[in-house]
Amino acid sequence: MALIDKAMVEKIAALAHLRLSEDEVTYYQEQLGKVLGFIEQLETFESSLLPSDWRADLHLPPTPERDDQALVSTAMERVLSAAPRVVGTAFQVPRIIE
Amino acid sequence: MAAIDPTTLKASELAAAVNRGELRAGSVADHYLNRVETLHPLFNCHIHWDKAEVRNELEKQIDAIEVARYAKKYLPLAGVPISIKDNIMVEGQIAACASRLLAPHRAAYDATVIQKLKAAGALLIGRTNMDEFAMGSSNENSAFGPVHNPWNRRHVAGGSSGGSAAAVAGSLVPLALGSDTGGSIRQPASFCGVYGLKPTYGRVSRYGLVAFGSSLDQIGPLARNVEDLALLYDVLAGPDGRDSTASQRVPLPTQLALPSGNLKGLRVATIREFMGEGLDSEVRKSLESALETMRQLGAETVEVSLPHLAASIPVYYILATAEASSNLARFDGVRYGARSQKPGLNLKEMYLQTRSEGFGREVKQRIMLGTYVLSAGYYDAYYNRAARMREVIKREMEGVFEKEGVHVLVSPTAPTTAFELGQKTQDSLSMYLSDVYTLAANLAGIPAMSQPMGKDSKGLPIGLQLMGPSFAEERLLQVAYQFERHQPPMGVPDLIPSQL
Repeated sequence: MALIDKAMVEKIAALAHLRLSEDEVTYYQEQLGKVLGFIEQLETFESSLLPSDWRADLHLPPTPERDDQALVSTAMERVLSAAPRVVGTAFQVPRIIE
Repeated sequence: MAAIDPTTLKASELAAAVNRGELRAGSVADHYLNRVETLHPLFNCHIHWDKAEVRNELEKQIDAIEVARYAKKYLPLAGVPISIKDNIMVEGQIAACASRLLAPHRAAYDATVIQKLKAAGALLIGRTNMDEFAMGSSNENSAFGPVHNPWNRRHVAGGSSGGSAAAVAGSLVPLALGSDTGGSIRQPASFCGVYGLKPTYGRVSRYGLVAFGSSLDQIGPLARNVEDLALLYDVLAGPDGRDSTASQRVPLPTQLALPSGNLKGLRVATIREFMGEGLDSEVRKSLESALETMRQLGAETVEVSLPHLAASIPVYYILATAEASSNLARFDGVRYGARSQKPGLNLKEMYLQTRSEGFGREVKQRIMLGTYVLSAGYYDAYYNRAARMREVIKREMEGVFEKEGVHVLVSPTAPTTAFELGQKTQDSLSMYLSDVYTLAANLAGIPAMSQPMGKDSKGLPIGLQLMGPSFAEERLLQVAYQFERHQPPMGVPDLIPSQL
């Protein structure tokens, strides 16, 4: 029994902004099914090392932040030069409103 | 002055010779660029390595090294060639992450580690091949073709820093940078018979490293001996205001020599859960022999049990892919790299088309796996459970060092030696399982390294992994240094011509 059907593969691909061919859907259904089947074993692990309500997002220390500080940046030209298409000082994208 | 062959020198000796003026940085650059050019067709270690272009890029650096010499300023890596993994930014150079999607992408800035290398006098010799976006264990997921193992071209070099490890093993360069999210420095170092260190999470700045799993990624050094590994690590380590996860602890320069020159008083532990099914018999024998060497040097060897390490693979492949699906969302054809040339696409279609054309098979799979484990209805069952188990693994490993008095954990770096090209490409799960011994160090954030401990009956190198508590890199390097002194040298792969 596959853990994941073709419709689910297509749904995940859409969420991930990927378009898959039929062959790819078949391939990923098999590969993801195998990997998810293996990952299921995580359910068998529990530990008393952590209280049951421990959550990473609540209990790990936050990443330290630095104070906001305005600095002069000269990076714009270099950053824009890495983009596929540029108009003036903006990234150019296909027309959104037809 | 007799001509010195730079290939015969350690990086530390090379830097000393350049600082003293016995060797010129320009001639060292020419020597190694010739090696890279000659050996490239054999191993495919590099992606960007055009001799004339690299030589041109190095002119300014060669001048700076000369100026420093006249000013009697000692540069720790003066004239030492180093190759950079293709996911680390060097201003003005292509940084493609071995992906079609980023093939035309030129970095807009230097990574912090690159600024440090330049300031230390290093010569940046090309960009090394890797698994696309560092996702892989064999370097077969590269848009630029696989890397071949210098000890046997039919075998993989390991991954994802396969190009870096193979380039060092074949003496194409004395040093290389890699990155390690789940073993990507240590496993190729093991497969290629070189030394590789994944520092403590936060010990080396990640500013300018293209993110894969941000809570796991670390940049680290690869070298042909411990002394050179330590030399490069000392240059890389330290705080960085541009990476908020970089530790504020100031590192002290590594001191390799132990006062006694042996391992007396050191408690070394093997991990019971790593010695079972799946471990190749020759690798096991090699580990037993390494433990005997350590005992002869005065170390006490014990076995510990870390039962939750068995969860490392599922935990890692949930958390790393979840982070990757978020990190790689930025590659959509707008700000970086290539954009689909298909005509008549609206914005959303352009995103889909660009990503579908640009990403390779494994990268798509990991993005989808990460999207799945983060999606509504599955988050608690997968991501949250894995994050909890990661904390358990971390506490369990910390407990071994703090409560059981273990100084260093040892294991094989990988359960086998380098497998054959193509052997695992049709089965993702079997490829993922080959990371079984390296993942825990990333999950716990602790330092870990691989060093050669022999060869198997096919002549392929076997790696020994050393793991220590956070910020104990110096201890690992000291132990590795003593062990190295009592091991036969790896030698040079037969495929490397003696005259180059």
